[in-house]
Amino acid sequence: MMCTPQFQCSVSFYTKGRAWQGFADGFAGNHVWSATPEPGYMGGEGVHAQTVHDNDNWHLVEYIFPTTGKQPMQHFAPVVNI
Amino acid sequence: MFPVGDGRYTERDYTATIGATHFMLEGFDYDCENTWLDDIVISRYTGSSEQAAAINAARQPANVLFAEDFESGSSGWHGQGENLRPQSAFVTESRDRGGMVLSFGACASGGDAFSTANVECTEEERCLVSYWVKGRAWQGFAEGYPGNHIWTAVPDPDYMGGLGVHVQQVHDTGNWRHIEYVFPDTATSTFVHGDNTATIGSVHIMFEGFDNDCSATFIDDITITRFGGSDAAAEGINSHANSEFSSSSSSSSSSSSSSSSSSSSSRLLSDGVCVCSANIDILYTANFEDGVPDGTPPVSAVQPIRAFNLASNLVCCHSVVGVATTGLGLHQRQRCWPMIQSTGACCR
Repeated sequence: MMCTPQFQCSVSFYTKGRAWQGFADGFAGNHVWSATPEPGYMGGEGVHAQTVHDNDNWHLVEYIFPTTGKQPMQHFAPVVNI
Repeated sequence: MFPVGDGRYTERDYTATIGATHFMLEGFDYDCENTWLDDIVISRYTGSSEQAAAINAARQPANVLFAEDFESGSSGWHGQGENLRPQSAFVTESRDRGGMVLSFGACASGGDAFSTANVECTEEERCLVSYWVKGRAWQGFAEGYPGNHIWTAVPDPDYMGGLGVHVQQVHDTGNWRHIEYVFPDTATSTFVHGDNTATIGSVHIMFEGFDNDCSATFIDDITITRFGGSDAAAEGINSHANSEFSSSSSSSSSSSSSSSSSSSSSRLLSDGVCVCSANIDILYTANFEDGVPDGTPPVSAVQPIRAFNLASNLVCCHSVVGVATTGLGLHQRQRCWPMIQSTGACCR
């Protein structure tokens, strides 16, 4: 799939546990971990979303990829459990 | 502020621009055997690229109990005792952080800046504490301002004989470092200072500069989320909580897929009937309902059936096959195929 700064993708999945999710130009080749349980992974660079570490409940992860620049983290969304 | 990236890969060749990508998944460090994924959908985002990072920031993370980025000032912070405001801590702009941060003008003891908000952190309902720090910070939790309290992240690991110390703060006035740990840990159920038999429950997060480099100490982007991992995972997270960065190790463990993808764009086709509205541009979906045959290699999990055709950008959209809910609202999900430009026929 084509996801670029000009043609961005909206990513959505459900996860339970402690998932690491990213994008790669191979298997893995050049890659970026974009949704991780550690917001500080790689100094936060490339981390677009934080996955919730929760072995008991499913959580929805949604984000736009790739994004650039820096934005304030505020106005958090409510808990999404299913 | 939350560093995102610059549209490039961050591992291997970090100068390579992100373009055609595979979606990849793994369990990496803890609770891998308890990790599951479902209902993956990747669709074309058609909103403003300038707003995309802000939308991500607004969505992340889930299950937040407390969040502070100091962009709105210090109104959410209390001082020690009856002081309505911290005595030495103040909010200032940080150029290397790209926004507002908490700074400490002088050393203090007994806590300097306390969150006015309480969070519930107990043995049964643990918290994942995350923030960025530069300098030499002391951080803990207090029942009041401070009342019964505990210093959990300190530069001196032998402070109080290590009692209550969950992680060690790195003393570094030159670099921002990320702190993340689980509180309370399995060895801690009561406060250390004040009534040391009092059970930890509803607490304020507190910070201070205490002994050295107080005026060179800064805090930013605090988040406290509910921790739902195992005891082993908590111990593992706390054991490396003061490391500079996690090292990278890739070993994909995603094991199954069922994908159906189609390409679309927001175009009115020549017959005037088919219109794909925004955010229904499904590039890749996987709901795992069909499973995969035995022996299917994990790499198949990231293979889209059909690539998005940026060159033609023309599609045929047919019947509505469902309604998708995204963070941007409800959207009809249509089944779309690339259009053969020369004939106008759908290439399904």
